[in-house]
Amino acid sequence: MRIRRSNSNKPNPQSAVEDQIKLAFHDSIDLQFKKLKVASLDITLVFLKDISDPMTIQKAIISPLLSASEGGGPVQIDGIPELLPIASIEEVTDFNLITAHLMDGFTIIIVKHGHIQNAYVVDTTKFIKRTPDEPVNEPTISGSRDGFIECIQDNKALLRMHLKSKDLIFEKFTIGTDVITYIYVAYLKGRTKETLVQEVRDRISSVKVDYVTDGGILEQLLERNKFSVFPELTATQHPTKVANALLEGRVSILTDGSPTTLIAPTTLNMLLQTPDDYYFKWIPASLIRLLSYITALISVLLPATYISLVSFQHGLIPTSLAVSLSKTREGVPFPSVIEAFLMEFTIEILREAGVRLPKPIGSTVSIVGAIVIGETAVSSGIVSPMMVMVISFTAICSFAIPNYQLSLALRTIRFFILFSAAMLGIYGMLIAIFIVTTHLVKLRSFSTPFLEPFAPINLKQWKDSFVRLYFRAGAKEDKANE
Amino acid sequence: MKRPILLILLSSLLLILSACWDSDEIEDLGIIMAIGLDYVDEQSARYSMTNQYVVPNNIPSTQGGGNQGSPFQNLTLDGNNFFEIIRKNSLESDRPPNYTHLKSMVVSEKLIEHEPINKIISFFLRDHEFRRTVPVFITKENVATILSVKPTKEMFPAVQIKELTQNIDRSLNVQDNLNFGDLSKHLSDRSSFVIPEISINQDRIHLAGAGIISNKDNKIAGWLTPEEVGGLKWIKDTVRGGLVTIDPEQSSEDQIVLEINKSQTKIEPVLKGDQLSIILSVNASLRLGEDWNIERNVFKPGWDKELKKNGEEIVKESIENVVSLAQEEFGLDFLEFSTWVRIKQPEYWKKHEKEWNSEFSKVPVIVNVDFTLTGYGTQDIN
Amino acid sequence: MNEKQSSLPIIIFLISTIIGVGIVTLPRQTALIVGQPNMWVSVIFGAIIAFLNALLIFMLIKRYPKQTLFDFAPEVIGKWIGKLFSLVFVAYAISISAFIIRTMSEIVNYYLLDRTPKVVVLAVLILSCMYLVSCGLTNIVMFFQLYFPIILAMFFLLTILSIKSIEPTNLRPIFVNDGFALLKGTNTTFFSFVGYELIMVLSGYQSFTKWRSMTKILGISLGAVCIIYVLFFILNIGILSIGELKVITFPTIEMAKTIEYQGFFFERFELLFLFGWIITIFTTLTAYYYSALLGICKTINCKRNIFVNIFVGALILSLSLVPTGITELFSSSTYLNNLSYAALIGVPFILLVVSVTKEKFQ
Repeated sequence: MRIRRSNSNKPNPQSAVEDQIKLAFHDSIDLQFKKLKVASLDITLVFLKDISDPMTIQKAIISPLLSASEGGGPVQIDGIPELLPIASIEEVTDFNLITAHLMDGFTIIIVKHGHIQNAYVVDTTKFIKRTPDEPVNEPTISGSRDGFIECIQDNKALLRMHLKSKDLIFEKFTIGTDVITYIYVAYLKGRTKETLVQEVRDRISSVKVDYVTDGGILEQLLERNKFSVFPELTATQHPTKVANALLEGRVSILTDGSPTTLIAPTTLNMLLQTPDDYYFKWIPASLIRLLSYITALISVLLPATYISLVSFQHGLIPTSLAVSLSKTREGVPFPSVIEAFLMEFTIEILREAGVRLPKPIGSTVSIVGAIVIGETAVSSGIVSPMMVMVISFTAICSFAIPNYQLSLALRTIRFFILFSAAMLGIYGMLIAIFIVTTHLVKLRSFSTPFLEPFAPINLKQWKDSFVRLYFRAGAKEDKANE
Repeated sequence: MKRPILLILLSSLLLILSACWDSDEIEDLGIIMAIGLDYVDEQSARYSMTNQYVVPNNIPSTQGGGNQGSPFQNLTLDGNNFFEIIRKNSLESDRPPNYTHLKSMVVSEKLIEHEPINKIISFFLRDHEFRRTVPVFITKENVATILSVKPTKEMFPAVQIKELTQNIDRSLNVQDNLNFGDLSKHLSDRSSFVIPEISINQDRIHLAGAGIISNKDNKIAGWLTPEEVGGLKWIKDTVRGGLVTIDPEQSSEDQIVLEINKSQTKIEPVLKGDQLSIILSVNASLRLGEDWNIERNVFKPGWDKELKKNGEEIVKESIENVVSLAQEEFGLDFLEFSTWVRIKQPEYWKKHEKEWNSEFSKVPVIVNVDFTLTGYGTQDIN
Repeated sequence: MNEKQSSLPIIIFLISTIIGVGIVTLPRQTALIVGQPNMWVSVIFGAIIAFLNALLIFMLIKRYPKQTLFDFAPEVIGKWIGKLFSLVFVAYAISISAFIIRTMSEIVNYYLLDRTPKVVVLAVLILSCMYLVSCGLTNIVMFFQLYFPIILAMFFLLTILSIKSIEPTNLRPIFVNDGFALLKGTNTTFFSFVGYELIMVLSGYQSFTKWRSMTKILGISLGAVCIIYVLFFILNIGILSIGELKVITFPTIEMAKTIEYQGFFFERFELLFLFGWIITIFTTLTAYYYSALLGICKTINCKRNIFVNIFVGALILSLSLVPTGITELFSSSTYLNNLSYAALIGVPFILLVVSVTKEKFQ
């Protein structure tokens, strides 16, 4: 769709504006015009039927105008806003704004008196929205259970609700040439580095696309490392997470029409945390935090370690295990590498199948996959029981990773390391780890090193990495000046 | 931006191109649990080597099931050197032998009589698959026979042999394992040492005394009985438990058994002029374990005087017995006195290092034994 | 506070660079020369000499803040001789890289991959190193920081696990000894401290001008390495004894192999050491590789690019394949030592003298 700009700042004669709108919306049938005559003024209300609230239009615009007309007094062309009992009424002079507001469900009031004509926009939006339920993919044990929804106004409201600070700032951006999408950048002034905010602004304004339909797409558009599997921005639907991130001096990016909110910059450390970590006493919370690091490591390294031990460095397995392994592997037709890839492949398929299917059937698929296939495969001797154990344990560990983006990235890395281990055993595994860590070290998320507290080493931040030390009352962290 | 990608591609390409040279599936390996070396002295071959393979299929599983065969298989082959014999195994077994899980090594008396032990184990020290923690045993029996004795509690004879020394803190006659590393250490230090001996007793593997390896020719020089091993343990400060029995013949009382709690032996070489003497002092704390002399009243102070004296006498006797054995009969310092002389009298050691064997026989050894009786148990029977 | 923040990465860089092959081969080399249970004293002597040498180098680089050796050498001594000096340093860096990775490949071939060709073992390592080097010094320094705690943790764990196997008699006598032999051993131990000379390259990354902070950096890094070496010497001597050290090819690995805990989840712990050690080799290689690359680029006046990178990598790879066997490899370290004298002491000393006299005459 091509947006036409009007020739002058003042709208053209009334009919011309209406025609322009009509033309712009290709005479779509949900575009409504309502003509009124108030005193000597010709008034036309323009709105899109389904996204504007007819009750509001009726009560807040039409009735007051009509009653003013009945009152018989003279009505000035500039006096229209005062007649309407509405908090926000703006005068627009730009035709692009008129179309944009129309699409938001606003009602355009075009007032004409002779040659003078004004256009006002009134917020009559009727939102189609669900309640802010707990995000399905990020359940928490305790803490707030609200989640972002598709309506950006409500999302902003949620953030405001969680962060009652006058420093909380929203900045609005518009993305997309064909379909416009509103992007809001939120940050806490004073806590966030100005350079970071500027970088976010720059990146958003440099995005030149036809349309953006979801936060996930925006995330990829904002990223600089196109070939990295690791996320540069955290996607979350949890207002608390966003609020915490903002307090840490990060910037969040809200996308209209998508419950996914992005947080920048993102570090590995952050991806392995959950809001729950902060809600419990610090010793158990630290243990849980440690656990999530360990599960991340296991989910990347376990299959590769198993392969390199079983087919390369047999000497490192405890003897009794080695003996029983060689017994259980007796008669398995594939080399352990092929076996591992086969099992990994099966698990990935099962996982995807489970996600795609509706919930009740999904669990059936998992049961069929896990019990029937796993059990039969072992008993028929296609795979060894140990391999099933290793692969399923790895899968469970990767489920335990708090962030889905990260778990996806680690799944990919796992295959790379598994592959290297299959070639050169422990040594190949180590080399693969070198390559992956080189990549991670090189990775920057909005100029912040991805491995932040570990490389470069920042011992002060370690207290909130592997472990989560106790809160110190009265300590004010001033991140922006660090 | 493109450069790193190119590098990643290159390295992964290299990984792909490199076939997996070293990849061996664990089930394709012949895991060897024990090796036995023996001397045959025939025209065709001089040595024999027994490899104890694990037979994975016959390992009893937890779910029960048929357990027909034995979980191990011994393969004895002859040859002129050990590496050759190992490679000969491939003629009979499709699974290449893998020694990373070796549990014990048994050498026959005959072999050490004929060949110096440093030559025998040269291959095993050189090859990286053999770990320095593998214990070595010596036996007077046929090696192949002793490795086929069906173990009673363990699955493999190899493990059974290795675990025999687990009870080092239970009996004075059980000595610690001598592993490859220690063996090699003794060889490079050029000192005499003892190797634990195993034998067959009523179809069971049995830990016997020890064989003494001379540092002159690295061959077997003699044997120690289990009792003498006890004396040696006192000297080498390896007593970690065990019993001291006072026989009726040695005292006026009925027999008494003392249990050793803790013991420490100090060896102090003293140099007077050019004459070296060694003071060996044992400090042990014991507990009254079994008392056939019912009349004793342990609540009366001084009840332990007699016991103490008698016990000390017994230990002193057994130590002196071993020392005289070493000095007079064998003339070999397997008591590790040389270590202490090296540490405490380095000047003397430098001068006499070469002729230590002869010097050692002349060194007077003074043995002091001091017991502390710490208790008598939960009840005294009257 | 500020100073501390900037010196920690340098300390980590230096420690990661210095710890390398020495930890595996040094105990044998020293045992052959010194041959007494207190030979770890030689390590301390070696560290002191290395520290003095490092101070000499510092006196030189202090005069040229924010410049690397390759920048100021032509300035000090004339364009062509300066370039020659740079090339001596590059040759040194390349041969030391080749030497360490060859030693590593021998160990990998002995203990991990029996039948894999050396070329593959080496090429894989060099390729992954090439990737890291291509990311620039900032990322290299970060990479070192990431692995530093891991290296320390592994060595610490290994120490804890092996303490029960130490036989104190092997370590005694401590005080009665031949002092001269200890001094002779210093010549050997000194070379396991090389790596500090890379401050001549790091000086382009961060300027070193203050005596206090620099002595602190050098003192901490050399001191830490010295502690680690002494610790490993004590473990080696205590577990293997001097007599054995003389005849075992790679004593530290054999030492790690003697640690066994029955009935533990892992019975054997040499992997722990091999992992930590290969990481240190990788960091050392990266540091020298980067220095060689930077030296070549500055000498022929070009930007760091993939072609020079591949060239340096290929050079290191082919040089590392020159020795035919492990005996040749160890004997080639004599040439390396001579080259080290030139690069470590010769080049900085001449440059310093010329620089000082030049200043005097002006």
